[in-house]
Amino acid sequence: MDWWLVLAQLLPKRKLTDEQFAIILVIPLILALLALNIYPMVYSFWLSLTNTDISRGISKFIGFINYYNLMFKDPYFKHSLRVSLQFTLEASLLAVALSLAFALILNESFKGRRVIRTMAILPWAFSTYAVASLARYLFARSYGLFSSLYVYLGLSDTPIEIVTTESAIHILALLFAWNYVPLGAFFLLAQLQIIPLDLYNQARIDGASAIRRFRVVTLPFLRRPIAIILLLFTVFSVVETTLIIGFTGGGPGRATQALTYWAYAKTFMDYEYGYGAAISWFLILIAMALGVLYYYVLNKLKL
Amino acid sequence: MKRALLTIGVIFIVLWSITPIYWALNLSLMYHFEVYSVPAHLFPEHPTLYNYLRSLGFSVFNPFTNRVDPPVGYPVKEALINSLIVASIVSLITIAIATPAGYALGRYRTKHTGLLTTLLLGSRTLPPVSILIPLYVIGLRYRLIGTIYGISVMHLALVLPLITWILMGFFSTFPSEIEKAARIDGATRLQAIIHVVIPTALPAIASAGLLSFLFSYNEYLFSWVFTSGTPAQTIQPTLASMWFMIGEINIMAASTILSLIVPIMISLYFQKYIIQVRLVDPYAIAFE
Repeated sequence: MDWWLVLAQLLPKRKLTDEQFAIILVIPLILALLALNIYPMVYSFWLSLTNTDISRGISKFIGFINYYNLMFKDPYFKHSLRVSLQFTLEASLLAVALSLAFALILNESFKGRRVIRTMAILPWAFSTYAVASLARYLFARSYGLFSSLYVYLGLSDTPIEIVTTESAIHILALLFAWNYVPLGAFFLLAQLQIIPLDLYNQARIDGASAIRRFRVVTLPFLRRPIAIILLLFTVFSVVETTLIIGFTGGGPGRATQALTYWAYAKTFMDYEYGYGAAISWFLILIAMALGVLYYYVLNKLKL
Repeated sequence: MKRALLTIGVIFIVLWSITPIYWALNLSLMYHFEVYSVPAHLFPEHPTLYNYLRSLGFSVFNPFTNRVDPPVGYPVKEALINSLIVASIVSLITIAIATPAGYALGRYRTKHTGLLTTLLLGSRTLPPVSILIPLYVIGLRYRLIGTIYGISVMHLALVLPLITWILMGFFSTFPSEIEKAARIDGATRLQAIIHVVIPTALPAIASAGLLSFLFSYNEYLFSWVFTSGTPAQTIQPTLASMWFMIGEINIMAASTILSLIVPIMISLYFQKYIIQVRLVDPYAIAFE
């Protein structure tokens, strides 16, 4: 039936312990992870310790020089770090706020709720590149909806440029939210539906206002789920690359050149594989630190 | 008061979710001259499937220039087919590996599984760029660049940890009573899995398969590096390469819409399940 069953047939016909049985089932996964995740990680760390540059045809071990250069010599490091930080903050906070709002609205009963829920889920299924493309149509100067609305509303005679050096990063955060809010909203919605209705009725009998009912009944149930999606969104936005490639390509100028984009550009445009690997390892460390921090916050502080 | 707020909220959700799709649809139904009218038209005055047909490789008569326009010079149809093939391969292999592994990790928790689960979790936070270069080097060595099999293997690197994690979460809450009953009736562990666990868990396994299908179909970065400009080119890099013909935004919009058909169908399937089955993401389940 499945090839792993054939594999199991080949084993000696004696009784396996539960642990041995489990290990056999996990072996294919371990092999795949070794080849496709662990080996590449180790390789990329080794690359980050070399000055590998395909365009110049060099590859020599140089220790931690790349990391030193990145942090102290690279003229764009501080800028990229700041862009990453701003994008992560804006994108994840906006996505969490909208997820909460959407979940609360979709939890109410109203006519056509099923249809609205179906609509709300759509952006979740779209590829990040498609999201970037849709946004380019929407925000374009000549054929974009928003610049045209400016004209229709009489705010301007000619279409205006919406994506500028100042606005680009905010629009990227908005796009991230568009793509990820369904995930957060439906996650929170699932939590909302396990809150016992009795609690609301009791609060209503006690004369609590809607806002107070939300604070006293709903919020305690949502505190942990909200922390979880905040964690998801921060980690996702720290490593988000495709959205930036697809929407702005790091521009205008270098306005949206986040660290992920910088790693991508150094590697696949300048062919500095070693240096690019060092930037991506810097990112891995940030993502790991975030993961550990949240793990601690969620599990040790019993949020 | 509450009713009014709710109405505003619902209208906002509809506008928020639909506007970007509406605008691409709007552009995709226009002829070239209409797209570039200023200000842009909010609805197509001469709605046409001209762009869709040209994207899919047909020559189409354009009544406004009185010419037959050739198919667009990008393999949109071929790319869509490639994407469907790649996504099918990826989801089948993922399910074949992730189901037994997810079952074992969810059911038999020992101290040795801790490292593995941490690894699965950690891989979700990897910047894709970091494993892209090494995998590209592997791809060069084993001639995987520009092949359907090559990009399928690379997608496994991204999809497998995630789907294993999701199935692990599913199996750890999966009731073991029926399985125990089967064991008492004399079935071996393997028989119990094949005849009892898998049939019962089939909806969840199918959902996980569909999810890996969607992730593979939607993946851009690896697909761009491994397939762009080759016969194996999938849909996302094709959309990206079309930005170079910026002059025909109506055709690009049509191709984007065409690429969204599969995701929309999958999301329609998932809206039934997304609340019950926690097909969210490894982190969410990890901390629950």
